[in-house]
Amino acid sequence: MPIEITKPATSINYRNPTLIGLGASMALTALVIVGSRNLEHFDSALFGYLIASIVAFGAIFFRYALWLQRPATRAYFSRGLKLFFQRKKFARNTLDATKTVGINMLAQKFIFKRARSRWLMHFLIMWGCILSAAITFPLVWGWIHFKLEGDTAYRAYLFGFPVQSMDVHSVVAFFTFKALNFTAIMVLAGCAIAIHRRLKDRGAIAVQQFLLDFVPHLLLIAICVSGLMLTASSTYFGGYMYSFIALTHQAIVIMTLFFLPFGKLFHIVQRPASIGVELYQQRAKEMEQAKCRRCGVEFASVMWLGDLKSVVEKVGFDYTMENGETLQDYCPRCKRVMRGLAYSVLMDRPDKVFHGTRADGE
Amino acid sequence: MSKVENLASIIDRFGPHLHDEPIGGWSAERKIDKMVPTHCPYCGMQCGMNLLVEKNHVVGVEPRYDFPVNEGRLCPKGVTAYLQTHHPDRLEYPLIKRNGNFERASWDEALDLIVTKFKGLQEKYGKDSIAVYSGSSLTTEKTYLVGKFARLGLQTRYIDYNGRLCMASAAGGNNKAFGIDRAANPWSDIPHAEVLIIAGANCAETFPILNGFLWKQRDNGGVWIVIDPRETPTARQGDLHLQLKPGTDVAVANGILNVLINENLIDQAFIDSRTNDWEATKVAALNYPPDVASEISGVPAEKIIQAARLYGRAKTGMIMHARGIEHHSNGTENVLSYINIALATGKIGSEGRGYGTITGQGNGQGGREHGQKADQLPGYRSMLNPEHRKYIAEVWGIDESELPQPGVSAVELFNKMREGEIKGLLSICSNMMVSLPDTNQVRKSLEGLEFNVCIDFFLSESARYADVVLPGTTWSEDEGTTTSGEGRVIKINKAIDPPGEARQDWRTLQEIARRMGRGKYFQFESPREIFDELRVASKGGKADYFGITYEKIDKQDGVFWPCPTEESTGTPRLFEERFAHDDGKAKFHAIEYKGAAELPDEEYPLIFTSGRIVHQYLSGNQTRRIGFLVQQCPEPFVEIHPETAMKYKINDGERVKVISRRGEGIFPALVVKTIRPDTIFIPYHWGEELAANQITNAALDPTSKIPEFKACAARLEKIHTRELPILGEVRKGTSQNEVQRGK
Amino acid sequence: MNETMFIDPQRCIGCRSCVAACRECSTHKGYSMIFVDYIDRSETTATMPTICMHCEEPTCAMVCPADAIKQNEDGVVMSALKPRCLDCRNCVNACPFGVPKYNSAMHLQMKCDMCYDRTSEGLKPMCASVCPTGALSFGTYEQIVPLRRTKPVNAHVFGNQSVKTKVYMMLPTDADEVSIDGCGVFEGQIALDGSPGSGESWIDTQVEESDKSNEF
Repeated sequence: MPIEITKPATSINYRNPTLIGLGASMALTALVIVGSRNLEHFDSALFGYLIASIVAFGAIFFRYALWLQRPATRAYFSRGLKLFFQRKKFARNTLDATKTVGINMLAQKFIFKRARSRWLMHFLIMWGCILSAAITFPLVWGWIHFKLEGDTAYRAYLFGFPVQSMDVHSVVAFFTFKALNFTAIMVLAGCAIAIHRRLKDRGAIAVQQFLLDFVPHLLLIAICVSGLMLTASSTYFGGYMYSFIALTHQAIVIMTLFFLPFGKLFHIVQRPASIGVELYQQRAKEMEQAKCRRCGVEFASVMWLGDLKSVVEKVGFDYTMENGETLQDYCPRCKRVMRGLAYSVLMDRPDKVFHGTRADGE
Repeated sequence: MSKVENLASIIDRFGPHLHDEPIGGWSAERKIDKMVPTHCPYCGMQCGMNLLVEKNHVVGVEPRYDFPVNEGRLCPKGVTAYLQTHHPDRLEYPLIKRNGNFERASWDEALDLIVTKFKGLQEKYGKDSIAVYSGSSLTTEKTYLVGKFARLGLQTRYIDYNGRLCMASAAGGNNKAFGIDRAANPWSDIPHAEVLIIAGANCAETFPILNGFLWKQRDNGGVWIVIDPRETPTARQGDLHLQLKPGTDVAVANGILNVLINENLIDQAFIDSRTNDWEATKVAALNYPPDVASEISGVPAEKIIQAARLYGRAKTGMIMHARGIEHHSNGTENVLSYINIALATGKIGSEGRGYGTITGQGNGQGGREHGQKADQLPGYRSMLNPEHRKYIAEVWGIDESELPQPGVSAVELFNKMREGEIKGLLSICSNMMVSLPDTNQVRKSLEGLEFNVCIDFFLSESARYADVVLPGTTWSEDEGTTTSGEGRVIKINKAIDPPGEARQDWRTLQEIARRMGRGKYFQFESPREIFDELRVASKGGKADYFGITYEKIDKQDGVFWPCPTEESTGTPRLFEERFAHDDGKAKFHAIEYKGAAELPDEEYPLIFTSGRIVHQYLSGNQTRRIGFLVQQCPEPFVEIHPETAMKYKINDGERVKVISRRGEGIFPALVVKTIRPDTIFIPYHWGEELAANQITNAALDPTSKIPEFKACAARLEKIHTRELPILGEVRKGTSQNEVQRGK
Repeated sequence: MNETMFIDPQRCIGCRSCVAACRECSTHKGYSMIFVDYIDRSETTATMPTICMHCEEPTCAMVCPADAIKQNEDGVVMSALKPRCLDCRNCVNACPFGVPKYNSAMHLQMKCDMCYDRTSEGLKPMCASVCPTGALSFGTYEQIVPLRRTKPVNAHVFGNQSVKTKVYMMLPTDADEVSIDGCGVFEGQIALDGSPGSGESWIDTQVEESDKSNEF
């Protein structure tokens, strides 16, 4: 397991995150009560899911708040918000952020750039999961329910308000009620690609860890398979072992929900932060650029470098030089060259080994 | 009839294009079918490497830790060598030039045309109107076959090879002094030498893997004396740098010998018992006291004295040299003057005491032993020696009278084309338009030919002038042996089949011979059969391969020749008891300083010298197509000392014109303090208008016929352009990523 | 893993064999994570090879907002975790050695992970395998000491900050650290107004927008 990297200098505050987490759980509970009209439309068979989702929801907020305590994260977060709400640029910011959502969150172009098969894999898993969640969670929380209208029509209710009615034999109904089967197949296909890659790619094999890289896929596969078995049981086998499968399915889903704040799956809630980061970098590019103190190259914006230097200081480093500059005021190449120069000065010593080398000769 | 028209479309079709990834792209998901142990296709170090093969494609390289010479180490050319096998520029079918354009042809069509033309020319102008020009990057089997092909297949006397531009002076000097031409010691002796004299060798860039041995010597407490007009990485790392004027090596060597004599650091017992002709040499050396040597060479007298004392007082020591002292119109004498030092101090013939030339080409050693040289027959036999002629005629099953007389050396061969004596050419494994001196004259030679055939696997600058181009194979598609710079015969193994219709050279040559009606001498079915005949042909010669077999090479990680019997395990170190002259003694040669053929004057005040860089190999036909290597150095540059730059008001990075009596070229200036103020330097790997050889002088050494690449007179001219060097342009705002993607 | 890398820049011949070989490693196939920079080509041919030094307390990891950079139990600092890296490039500019590389199109940082694919199988990293001179070598401390006349040192001082690393530099036997303060390098090779100076040769200057030199 990777070692968590924290310096003793930075102490962690657990109180606020705990409060935030509890608050989030309570808010969700309230929404469930309101959305299901005082639990009137709540399906008591889904009680386990309800409790798990409320706890997981709070846990995610707790983890998120904890994450925001990292100095670097907080710097990006607060500066990002400030930049976003700049009055003059608000419209442009919104537009840019929307673009970023489209390109990064929905289309996931950056994964495409990493590798095509990876993109397909991720696309299948992500949309499979999002669609499934969009269907199941409102049902669990009682926000949506269906009522039979006449002999062959169902009407859907959202937050207790009637929305649309559809014929049982219509195409829409077919996809609505079978949707989870399709999303399960999507996720299964994605996981198959992922595991196939993990078993073949020498780079992945070298660094992957079972708990971090395989368990999430195995959990997703288990959810999908048990879910599909439910369909199979009710459709083809007259409900054979239905309640046992349902219980298994529920157990696995709950496990996965509790797994969310940790390891690989946390990126689901963390990734949207890249919208802020991208906005930050876009705006930073337009601002005054810092010049490397040695070679004069413009290599980062003054704002970014300032933020970075204070973060470096906050995490417990002091890179101040004799000449008053900070090491981070130099571009990466000059940092390397400076080390080379420092090294060649070191060689200018009476040690016999280095006799005759250039640094010595002159 | 073989002018180059439509150059743009030729370049568009055949490159050089940059290619920088294995077939199918970079992927960590490959299923490697086999790992083929072989050697690098490039320099004379012949490093071991493993090729990774997936479905008949070479897709990667893996270090070969078990090969004792390099123990896994590889230079950037070696690491990227595998990228040439599936390069999009590869020639995969025969080409015939019609109306200035290369058109695809079938093998039959191309071979018939060649045979008809060759027969026609020979009927009209005589057998010797066709010349064969070969190379030393071929396996020894192929070089043997090329020699046999010229003399028996085409029955011409005119054959020579590009080793003439490379190792000829060393060979000449070695033969004169020792009676045999091979590095005297294996590389593994280097770490045992207290002092190394490295003359005219930028090992760091031209022979990178040798540095492993050099640094082992250093780690043992050894000292390097580096003699070079530039402060190369080797000179920088060395302990004592003698920064001489190009072309003044004899003065420096004689100066060192002078100090050795005067301070009695010579080994009189060794001189008396194992050498001849010392007195005359001693007299000659006494004419070069350090101050005289210093005045000629520009090296401070103290440094010459210091070098002599370091080397003379040490118990062990080795002298190594390379093209820097060899590429001169007095190259053989330069070599002999350094051999004199080794002999006078008795530092030869035992562990840590030795001498060697650093052979440049992959098979530079093997290629110069078995008869592709103008006056030479297999086994390092001479064409002028009646007994040698008789033996080879017997092996080949012909009458001695059928064996042609010796031909002429490379540069003279191309002179004869210009003079009209030679009408047809078959060139193989050589890129004359880059490698020969005085490019403008070489172009005239090629353009004047009536019929020109080229065998290569990329369309080189020279192949553009051919009427027919036949596709050959890379080193990974054939097997055979090469002999590395230390005289170690090693085995190249086949990894994959040739792509498209490309054929191994030995098949092609035999097929031409067969169609010329000479098929009965060329019945080889495999490189092994050729090698078996070569073993017999070399038996009893100086370079005796008779006891070497493919199996022995595998078992012993290579075999050092001479290996005369089945039981012999080879001879890693020469001269332990006797030298190869008939009386068993080595010969001193009294050498006087003569200077380069062309010295700087008022009109051309600078000394021009050429050389190599680490990222390119020889004429660059292979390496100028590999993206990674080209990115490191996309074009040649001219190194100028800041003082000289100041005089001409030249800025760093500015493009300047370099002019000699023979030609001129425009190169970006690299203003550096690592070169002498009176010298300028250009790396030579490029062709046409980027060729350093537009400037060089084709003056020849009388013994070795090596041209004077390393010294001629030149001047600089400012041309007032703002164009940046390509690398400067690339680095200005383009990311490495964009460069890699070929933007 | 007791083995680590030992860097000896005086041996470096600037051939960039390591740079080419680095692309053969599976964890970053096709991309090189090594730098070889001229120190000052107009003065000398000396070059400086730089790989990740694998800090004991990695600055890059601590300034990462996404907590994406992890150290494994051997002390190897790994490339950013792919699902987490947000392409903020804090690590690129915070690293005291100028090491991490990034690619904006991929939203990814990558760096030398000491050839984890090879070292975890007992093979030497590609760069140290191919290095012609031993400027980069791989082994244990005990293995290298008797082979060299220099001393392995893993302490670096940048101004007030000292940094200990898993990777060693080979130094003269009387030196105990590489110090980047007070060796004169900060005394303006460029004018203080920031205009580029003429001190550097075109062959060593990289770019106008410099962290592009760290883009892979």
